[in-house]
Amino acid sequence: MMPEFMPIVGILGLSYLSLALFALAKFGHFKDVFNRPPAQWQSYLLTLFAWLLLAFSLSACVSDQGWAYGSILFMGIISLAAMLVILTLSFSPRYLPIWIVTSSVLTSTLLFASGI
Amino acid sequence: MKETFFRTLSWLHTWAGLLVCWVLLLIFFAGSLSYFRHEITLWNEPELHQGVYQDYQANTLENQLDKNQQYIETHSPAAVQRWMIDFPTERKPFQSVSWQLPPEKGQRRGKTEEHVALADGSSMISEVRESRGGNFFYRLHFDLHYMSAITARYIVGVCTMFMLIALISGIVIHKRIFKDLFSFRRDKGTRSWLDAHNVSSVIALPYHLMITYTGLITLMLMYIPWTVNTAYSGDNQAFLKELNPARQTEKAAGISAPQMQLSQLLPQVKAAWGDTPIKQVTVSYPKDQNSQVTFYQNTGKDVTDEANILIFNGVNGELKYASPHDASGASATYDTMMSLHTARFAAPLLRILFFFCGLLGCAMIATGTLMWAIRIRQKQQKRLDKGDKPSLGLRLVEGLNFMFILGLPLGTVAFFYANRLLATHFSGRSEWEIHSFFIALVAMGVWAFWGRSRRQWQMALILIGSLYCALPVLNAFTSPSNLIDNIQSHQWPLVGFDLLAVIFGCAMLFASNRLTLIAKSPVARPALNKTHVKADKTRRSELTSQSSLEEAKS
Amino acid sequence: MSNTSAFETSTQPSADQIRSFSQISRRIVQWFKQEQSVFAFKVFARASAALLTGYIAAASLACLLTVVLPMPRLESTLTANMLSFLFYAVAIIYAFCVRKTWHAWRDLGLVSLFFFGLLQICGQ
Repeated sequence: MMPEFMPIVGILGLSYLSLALFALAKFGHFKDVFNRPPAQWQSYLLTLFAWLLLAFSLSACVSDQGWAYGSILFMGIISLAAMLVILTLSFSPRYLPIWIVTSSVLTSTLLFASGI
Repeated sequence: MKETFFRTLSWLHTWAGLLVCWVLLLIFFAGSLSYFRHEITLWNEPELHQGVYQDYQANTLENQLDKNQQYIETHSPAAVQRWMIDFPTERKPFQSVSWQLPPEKGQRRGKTEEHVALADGSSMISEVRESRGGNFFYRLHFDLHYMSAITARYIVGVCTMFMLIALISGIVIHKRIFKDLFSFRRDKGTRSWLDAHNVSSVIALPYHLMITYTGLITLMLMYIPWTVNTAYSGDNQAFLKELNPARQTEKAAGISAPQMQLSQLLPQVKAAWGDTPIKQVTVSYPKDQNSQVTFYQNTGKDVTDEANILIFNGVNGELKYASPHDASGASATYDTMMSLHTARFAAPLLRILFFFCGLLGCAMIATGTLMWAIRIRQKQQKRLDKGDKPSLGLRLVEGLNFMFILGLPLGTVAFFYANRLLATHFSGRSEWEIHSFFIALVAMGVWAFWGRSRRQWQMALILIGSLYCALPVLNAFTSPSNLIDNIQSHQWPLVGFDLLAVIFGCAMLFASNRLTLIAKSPVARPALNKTHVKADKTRRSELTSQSSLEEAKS
Repeated sequence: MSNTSAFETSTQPSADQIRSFSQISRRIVQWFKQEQSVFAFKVFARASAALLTGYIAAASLACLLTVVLPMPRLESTLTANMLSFLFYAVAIIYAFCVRKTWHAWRDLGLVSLFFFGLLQICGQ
């Protein structure tokens, strides 16, 4: 189980990252986290990176588990990641950047280790 | 119907939801539990908790088949209709043999007796307590109980159709679906409930749509049967034969014939399937001229519900049927949709995610109906302050909320307690475990009749939470292996069961604690209405009301 | 103020009785005309159109598709059956969203007849 664990936790971290960026691109959540409204270009860039990371997450799932199983697993991971982002934003929005950095580090380590 | 399209769909969403939400809560709850049906069944049979676990061993298949066949021939009664030899799989990690007796009067299928092998091969366990286990929850979510299966499936079908309408109308009326995707504003009364409802629906929206629609599709031939009549001019058997070519239509010939050794078929099986694990070997009408031997493949993570099988003639061993490897178009789609609903292919991690999404569905329904009850109470608050009684509708909804949102978890835990505390052998034992589920549910209904205030919710949550937290303790006292033993012997399903019970229990105790905070918060307005957050683990439990903190009498 | 004497068996209703009867019937008509009764009646009409006629429309379209789709009959049966719930959902939403209440019955009924007719024609 252990080896199977690693890439999926990494993909979860990646999805968390992607969805957190989606959230930050929105006016209200950016303000909650950074205390100032986002500029237009910041919003745009955040959304762009969010989509890229989402696509990367899907491709990681698929390359790890195959097309059918992988896409289903992807949908499940996105739901869990979305829940985590919502909880972070609701309880401790100021800490979101810290969680983002943590999950980036976690993700890259795990994904490199599993060879994706 | 109302002034605008939007208002019409809003009205439709409310009423399509309200009319069936409590049945849907039962369906979603039982359905989510069914994801762990085999694990629950295993927990319910403590006789199998020690010395039974084993992995699939490909190199000793011949020996195992011979041994098992001999065991069946010596131990089963003469007039059995089917022999079944089950090999260990990921979810049922034990070796077992079973046989199916002929049906008694009024039964469609006969009873099955199962004997489980000890892992060291020394003997078989034949006395396991009678319990439906996880299969009760599986059947509950579409066959309900205390009624004929056909009636129940029609009821479930109507409720599912209402759910589909509620989902579609909900999507359309949620104008800010992308803007509010991550919003969850706590401490804001009705607004928080609405956010919780939106969050639990939207983050698992693909899942909700999928599970609802595939649920309808699983029973579609019952709900709209006339397509088959039209296409096949009334010849239903031809349709069923085309749909499932392996379907056996021959009955027993009544002429006895020697049953061949099953292990002699293994070379043919290996030639066709290579090293793919075998899940089960079934012999229909053993020792009869028309007997058939079927080998079932362990399809693992393939997203399919179709059994990959090889059928041999039971007397001379010639191959009669091999599952085709390619199915395209509508049959493949149908198969995929059914397997998405049953999720038999899911490995543990994905299975937990499915379970999580199922619980989100329960949260979606519960937050919806609780929110409605709170809104109506707020509307009637002026009247209530003057001393009027609440309207019948409000009392009914609040009572049903109390009964189902608290009664379903209580019923489940009662089921497990009954499983361990009832005497191990008496006739009708499995039925009495099920009765205790419904007795607990009805008991909550009676409690709701007498009081549904915040204090009552709190007491109920403390009761149910404590019962759940005590489940591992119950397990330790009534099973040969407790949690520590299970961790040490790597029996992860049992560990997971105990841990999940504790998590559920703690979540409920936590929720009841939040209710205390609400009751104790100062009367100064705006009220500090704290709303509990975990949409995936707790039942919606706080009643927030902007103008009253005192108990509301029934 | 009856004019009949105590000995006459009255075969005609007295003025009192006529008055109370017309009062009661006026009350009944008023109740029917009440806003919530009218609304309840409309809801019932739309709901029955949606659930009953919508089901018939969806089922007849599904049967039509089994005959019309250019696939082997197993495939067309499965496809039509799988899509039928979508049609039913659309029919239900239509029944509630159409402007006039009786249009729900009219439209879904006509659609059912239309599909049924096509089925008879194409089924040959």
